[in-house]
Amino acid sequence: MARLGRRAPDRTGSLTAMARLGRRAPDRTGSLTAMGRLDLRAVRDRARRFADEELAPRALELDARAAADPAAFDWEIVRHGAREGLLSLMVPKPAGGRGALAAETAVVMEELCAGCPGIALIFGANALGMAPLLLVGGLAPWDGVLAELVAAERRGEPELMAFAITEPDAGTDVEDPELVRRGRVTTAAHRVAGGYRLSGTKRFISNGSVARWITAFMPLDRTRPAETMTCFLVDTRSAGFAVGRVEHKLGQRACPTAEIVFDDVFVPGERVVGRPGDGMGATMMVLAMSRAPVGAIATGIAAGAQRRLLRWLEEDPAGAEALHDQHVQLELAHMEQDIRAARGAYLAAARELDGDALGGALRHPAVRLASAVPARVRRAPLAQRALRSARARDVTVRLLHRTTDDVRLTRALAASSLAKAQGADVAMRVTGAALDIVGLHAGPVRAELEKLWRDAKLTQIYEGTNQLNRLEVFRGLCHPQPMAILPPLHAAAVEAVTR
Amino acid sequence: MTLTVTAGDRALLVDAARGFARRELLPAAARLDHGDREATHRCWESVCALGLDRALLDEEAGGAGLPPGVWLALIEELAAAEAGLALAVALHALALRALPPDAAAAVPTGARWALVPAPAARDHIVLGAAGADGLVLGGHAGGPPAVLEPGGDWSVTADPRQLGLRAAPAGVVRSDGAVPPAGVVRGDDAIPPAGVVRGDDAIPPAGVVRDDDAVPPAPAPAVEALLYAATAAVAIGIVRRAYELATDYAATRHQGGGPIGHYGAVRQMLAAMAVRLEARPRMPAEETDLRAALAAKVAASHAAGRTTIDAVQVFGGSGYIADSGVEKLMRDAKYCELYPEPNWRARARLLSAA
Repeated sequence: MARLGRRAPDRTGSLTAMARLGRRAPDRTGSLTAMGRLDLRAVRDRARRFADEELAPRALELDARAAADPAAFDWEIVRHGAREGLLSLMVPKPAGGRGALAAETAVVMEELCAGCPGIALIFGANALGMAPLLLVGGLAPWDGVLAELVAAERRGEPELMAFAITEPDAGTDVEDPELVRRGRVTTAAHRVAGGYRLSGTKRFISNGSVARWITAFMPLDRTRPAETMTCFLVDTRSAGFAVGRVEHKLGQRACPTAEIVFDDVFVPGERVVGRPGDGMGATMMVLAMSRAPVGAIATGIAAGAQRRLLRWLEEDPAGAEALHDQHVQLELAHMEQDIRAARGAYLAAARELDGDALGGALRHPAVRLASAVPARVRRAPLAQRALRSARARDVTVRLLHRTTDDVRLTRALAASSLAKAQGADVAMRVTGAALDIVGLHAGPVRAELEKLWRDAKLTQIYEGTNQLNRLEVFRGLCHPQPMAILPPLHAAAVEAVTR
Repeated sequence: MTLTVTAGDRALLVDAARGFARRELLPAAARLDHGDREATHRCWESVCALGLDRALLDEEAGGAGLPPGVWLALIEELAAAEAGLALAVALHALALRALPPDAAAAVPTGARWALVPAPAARDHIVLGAAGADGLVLGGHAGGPPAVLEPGGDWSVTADPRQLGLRAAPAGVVRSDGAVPPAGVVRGDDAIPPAGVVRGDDAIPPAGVVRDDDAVPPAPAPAVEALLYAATAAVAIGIVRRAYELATDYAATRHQGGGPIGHYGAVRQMLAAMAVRLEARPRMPAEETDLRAALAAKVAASHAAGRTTIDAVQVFGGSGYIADSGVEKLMRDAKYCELYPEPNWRARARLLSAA
């Protein structure tokens, strides 16, 4: 980290540099919230400029290209994002990234999605793939895969990550610890000398056809998926890994969604993320962390639609006439109401995550101490062996138990789910209403709004359907019933069921 | 002359249309959606072979003279299989109905014409216009239509980004002749009281635009209300298909150890679809009742929009994929909300419509 130069001059004007500048700005209250707000404004402005200049102008073109060939993928736009530090957004600073937590990530995603949700999803899915490493992976990935990804980003040869839980017969099932017990999980991992062999098919994997690394969840025992679910870091260059069908989607097409096939893929034991059997808890933590940004994605889609509509109303003669109609004025005001409410919901959820629910672990003195250790020391073989040991994995779980609990996590998951469902509904309503106002106008504004409307629908579906998300709101906020999210404290219990 | 059709005859016709739609159109729906020319041509030929293209025309114009209510029921049946083609059939029938009987009779079987609705504004895409052999412009109540005949100085620039109802291919209409260059008719408040195509005063007052202007003014058939009613029928067909797909999927897709149709969240969505079908909007009793037709179009297309969005939701991720056939319904339904004009404009007109 020191070598990467936290105090290096900002030659690129990148988001990373912007964030660093923000953090050095005066903080009158000294509170995290105040500091966070100051950062977020600068981060939002910068992300919006990037989205306006790089994403929006290419949105229709990449959408059309992927409509003709769903497997089409534009690495050039990824390189643009890499130059902005978008691939290492959530990578901890000691590993060379920006160390963004949920709020910062969400704000960036909102602005990117106002430009093009499909392109933004490439970066969002990458962050989602990293999330298990950050939440339950301990310190080992800092100098492993995360450092590699940061180095690739800086070389201008970016590599992507993906997150794989959904299966052909198990969608909602694998996002709920109760449903998964009765679900039809068909993937499985079994132990072999030195690691595990993974088999089965995952479906609807964003970045699935282009990712270099995938965090994939599979049970060690199909008959007890809740107790034995395990997260693996899979190298997609491994023998037996294959990309199946790339889906012909309605929207968010610039980011390919693929079926991925594991045919006895070997994963070394050191690439188990967290402890074997802790996968369901990890999944729930990842969802808590990712749903607020999905709310932001949806908010960005709505905001993007409103901006395009306003521009058309103000600049096109046909629009100017409509702008004087009171119905249109009221509709614009309604959009503003909805967008602000959705933004407030995702920011509130993200701040809860960054504060009590998950941020405590990242601010824990032990983690700060580890951050201060020079990378060359952490990368020494002895240190690496220690960081990858079963004991280190136990320490990560103990740290989580010391800094959070199931009550806080359940509440945070619920707040995040609320933000996701709220934002998604707003995105559908606002894009639909914007399209209604423009009608069948032949100009590009209709095509742009139609695309955003198609894009918006996915936000009601991914990261759990809105219905599942509302059930989390019921369980976490309306009628609190803490879920068992944290992995069990004692590894012995886990070992017993997985053996 | 319009036929008198008994309830029994009507049921027979509707059953026949349903059988045809299931047999011929449903299997081709995905190809029609992708603009497959061969599939489109074959389906159009089948429609013509059954006489569905001329079902609305009076006998003297070479048609079957079906009452509009029965014709709308047939359009709904076609739409329950393939909404875009159903709309194309409706636009063709209405275009011919707007022509003088002898002109309509002269349109060869197999040709596809389209009605360009009065509210279509300049620089808007016009459904059914791309690839059409002839266009009839305007056709609002009380006003004479203008006609763009085959071989005339007009063209349609197809819209490659058409979102829905793709079997009624859309484009921007341009004419180098008598019709305004930017396209066609002005909509909403710009519609002249008499309902004539407006714009640049370049269109002769006569109903039919021809090079020699020799054709006398056409009668003023009231097709505008039927156009809205037909759009409503298409929307109801979409609701039916979406409900059918969603209920089938909910019965067979298992999550949490049972069919998803057993879960309250899904049951409520399915029930809401059933309610929309049971409380389907009333079609206008009179073919000239524009107010009722506008109301039917707004209500039916709104129902289609809600139902198809929920149907995709029932399918989850699978519904977002083209194979499911359900995302297509969502796109088709959205265009029913926007066509012939967006619902908010149709609502605004409703209060002043006779």
